[in-house]
Amino acid sequence: MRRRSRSATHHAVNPCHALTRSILLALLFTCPLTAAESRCPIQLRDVTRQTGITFVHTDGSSGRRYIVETVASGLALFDYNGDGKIDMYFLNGRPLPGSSAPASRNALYRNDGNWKFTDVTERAGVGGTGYALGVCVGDYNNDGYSDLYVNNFGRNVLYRNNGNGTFTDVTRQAGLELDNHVGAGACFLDLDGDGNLDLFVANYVGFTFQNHRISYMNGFPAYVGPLHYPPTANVLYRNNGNGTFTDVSVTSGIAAHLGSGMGMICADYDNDGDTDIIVGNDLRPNFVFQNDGAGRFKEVGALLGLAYDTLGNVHGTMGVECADWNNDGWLDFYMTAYQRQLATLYENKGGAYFDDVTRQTGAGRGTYPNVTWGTGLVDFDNDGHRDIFIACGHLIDNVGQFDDTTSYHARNIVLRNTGQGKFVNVSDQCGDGLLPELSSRGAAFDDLDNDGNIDVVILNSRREPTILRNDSSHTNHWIQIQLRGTKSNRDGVGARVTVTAGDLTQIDEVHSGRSYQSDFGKRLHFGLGQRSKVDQIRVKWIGGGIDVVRDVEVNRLVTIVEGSGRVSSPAPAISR
Amino acid sequence: MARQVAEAYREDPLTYALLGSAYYNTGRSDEATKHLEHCLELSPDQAEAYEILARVAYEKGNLEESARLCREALKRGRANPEVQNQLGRALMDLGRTDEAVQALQRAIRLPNASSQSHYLLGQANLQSGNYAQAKENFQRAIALLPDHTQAYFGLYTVCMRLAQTEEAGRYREQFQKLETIDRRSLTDRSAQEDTMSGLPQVRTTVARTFFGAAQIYRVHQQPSKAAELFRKAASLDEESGVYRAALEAHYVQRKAPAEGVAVFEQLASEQPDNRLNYFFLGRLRARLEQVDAAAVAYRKVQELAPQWAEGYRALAELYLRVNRNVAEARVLARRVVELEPSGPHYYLLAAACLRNNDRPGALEAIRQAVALSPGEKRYRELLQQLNEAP
Repeated sequence: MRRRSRSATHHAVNPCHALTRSILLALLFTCPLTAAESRCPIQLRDVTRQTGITFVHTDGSSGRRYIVETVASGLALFDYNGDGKIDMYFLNGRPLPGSSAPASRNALYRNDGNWKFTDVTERAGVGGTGYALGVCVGDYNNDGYSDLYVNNFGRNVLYRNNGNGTFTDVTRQAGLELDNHVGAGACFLDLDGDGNLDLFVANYVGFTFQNHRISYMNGFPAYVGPLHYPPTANVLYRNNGNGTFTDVSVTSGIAAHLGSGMGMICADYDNDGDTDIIVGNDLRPNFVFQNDGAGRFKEVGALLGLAYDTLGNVHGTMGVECADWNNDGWLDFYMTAYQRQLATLYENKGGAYFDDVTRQTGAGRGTYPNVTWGTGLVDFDNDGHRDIFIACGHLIDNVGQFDDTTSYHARNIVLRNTGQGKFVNVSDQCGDGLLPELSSRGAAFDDLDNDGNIDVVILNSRREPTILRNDSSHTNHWIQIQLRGTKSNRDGVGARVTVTAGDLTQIDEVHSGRSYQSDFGKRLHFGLGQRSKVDQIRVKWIGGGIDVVRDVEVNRLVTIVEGSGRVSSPAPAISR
Repeated sequence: MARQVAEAYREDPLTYALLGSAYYNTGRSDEATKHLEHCLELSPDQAEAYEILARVAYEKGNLEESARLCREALKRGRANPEVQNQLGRALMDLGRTDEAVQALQRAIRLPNASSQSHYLLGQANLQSGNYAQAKENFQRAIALLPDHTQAYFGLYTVCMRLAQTEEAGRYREQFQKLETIDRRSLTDRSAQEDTMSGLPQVRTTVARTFFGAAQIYRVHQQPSKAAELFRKAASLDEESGVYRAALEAHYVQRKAPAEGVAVFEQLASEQPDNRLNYFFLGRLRARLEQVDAAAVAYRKVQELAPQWAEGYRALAELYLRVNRNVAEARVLARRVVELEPSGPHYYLLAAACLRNNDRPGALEAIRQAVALSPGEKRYRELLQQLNEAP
């Protein structure tokens, strides 16, 4: 669209060109588009080149078409060194049998400010050892520093943050040795409100090099789907509070359910004060593990209407996100999916059931021909209504040979929430950040330059990432809230925050692990529109405690320490 | 094949429709679009070309365009429930549920309305919040196709909205049971070596093109070429009744059913487990008044596909037509409605009952037929006759 606009301008200012009828017509058609573009309140600019980031993803492929290649990888945005700036951690694949690609590693980039990032992987010691698929961030030992859990194809790894810019692999000491699985998403959550972060590890399918298969489509080689491999159980670990974990998959009821896990999120869908677990499955019904508050779970996905779409079809679910899209006080879910399935918005009806409102709201616009992956329900323009970002790209690299209604490389999608119950596809009008055609996987969202606008980082399969700076107008107000638990877990994971500003009340929760096998957004962000004051912030901590603060200034990041009943800004360094 | 035909008959718009269709079936929709548009330039009334273009637009996510093309197809072609369904789906996906309801209501009023049309209408009503109407539509879909997995999900959803939780639970159970069976069968099928190789898909695609080419040769008075391609299409696609029906029609129209018998016997010897070859063999033998031989063929169909209603229906109809074994015909007709309880099947049962002087049985059957196909005049007339008869 932008290219067309520039072309029209060129013709208009060149006096040597006779303005033929066709050019006049072209001008007539392009002018309204330019106007529409300038009116779109969301503007995302591609700033990848200026960041200094040199990471390039590899899926380790060699043409043998191992299924694991198609689903890599996620990423994390978090402040690893506590300097108040959000850093980036990219997961990477590894050369698989048959590949002659050079060795690869995950990459941690420190945010130096002004959109410059430095690769600190070696010093931090988080390059990883396995084929990395999913990641989550949480302070599992409540020492004030964010730790990392990486879910691999192969041995998973827990990195303890030493607080000095380095990490230590403590997987074995923590009792988290888990091998021979194809990993997927992972989440830290406090399953029983004891103040310690427990760990849920999703697994994909029972693929091994021995049971590897390929298939053919219209004579062309292609990857097989997940149903060709046995479904697998997910794993739940309880944090013992002493740096170690115990596998409680069986006693909690989790192990009884076999699936093909992909993205996941932990969230309190029924507002009962504990954290439930939602796992997207690839071509199998999605799981909703309802928590009884003590860490025992019942699978209720089909009962709630989250296991299937409105048509009763099982989806190739990829990413799972949640947020309150219509500001009714209940967390809604958004799940991305395979080609010829709409990415789906499930509206929460008071915790009793979910309505697939994709079609009525337009929340699936543009997704049908694409395989969709990372996603975020993010208020890009700070108008108080959460928009949707969807990362796209097919998983079969030669799909164009036998199906040209889709493509391996695709543009990502932005759907703007009008605030009137509808989403509008503004991908053509919201800046050059939506022009790249790549095969995206994980997508993560946070305020990378602390200007009050949420930026975007996308991991692209086999390519460099894409970094989008949010240049949307600053006329709307916002507030960002960081939680510091004292009795409950230190990051406030699972805490429910309600922000009231005039006639607008919004909720959000702190999550660890979300979207497509990624992690981001520990600092909660609320767009406020033109409301210039926050009347009240209410925090319900996962242990049950409540903090309420009133009359908070806007356009700032505030920290709320559990039990303090007040905000502090900037965020203090709190250690327990 | 499609190119050969296009070369042979350059002025015939259908050849471009065939080329477009061949490209579409091999996943090359851009090339398909080019040829289909050329077909429409030569002959703007080709409903089938609009139909394929509508599908391409839908698959590319161009919903508005897909809806427009469906309307063009409907304007020009015969009343086609598939296209009405496609229009309904596009409108539903656009969030224009009221328009979707209208389109799908037209679909269910067609004489050959499918279970799928009722199901989609249920969906459109569900999304409009017309829950009672949606429930009725889903129930009708299940009445026509008792194993319609998604319709059970629709019923579960709608009963939950209507706070009919007990009923909802039953529908959910049934849905999950059927969904598990569907997934298992998909898994088993896709794990087969043949499926992994992609050959069935290629065979289906090639068969479709041969079938289209055969139709063009037939129009251009090349019957032997046409027959050969119909036979090849049937041979390549073992599941297709359409290609075999075309092959049968070819010999019937040429008043050579005996030749047709030979061709289907040959197909049956190549594919001895294929019920369809015996089914058409039975039909051709019945046409030749070889009642016993036809019955043998139909019994073979029943043996190969005991859950397929057609094998029983065809034999029941044959016995009723020639007025032989009418008691057995009634038994067969009962089996037919057990397997597929549709309006036409209940009508057949009613006829079989009447032939056996079983008036109560006939009355009950025709009542069911009217309930399932209320628009069918024949059924209502028979019901009225039976009600009025002393």
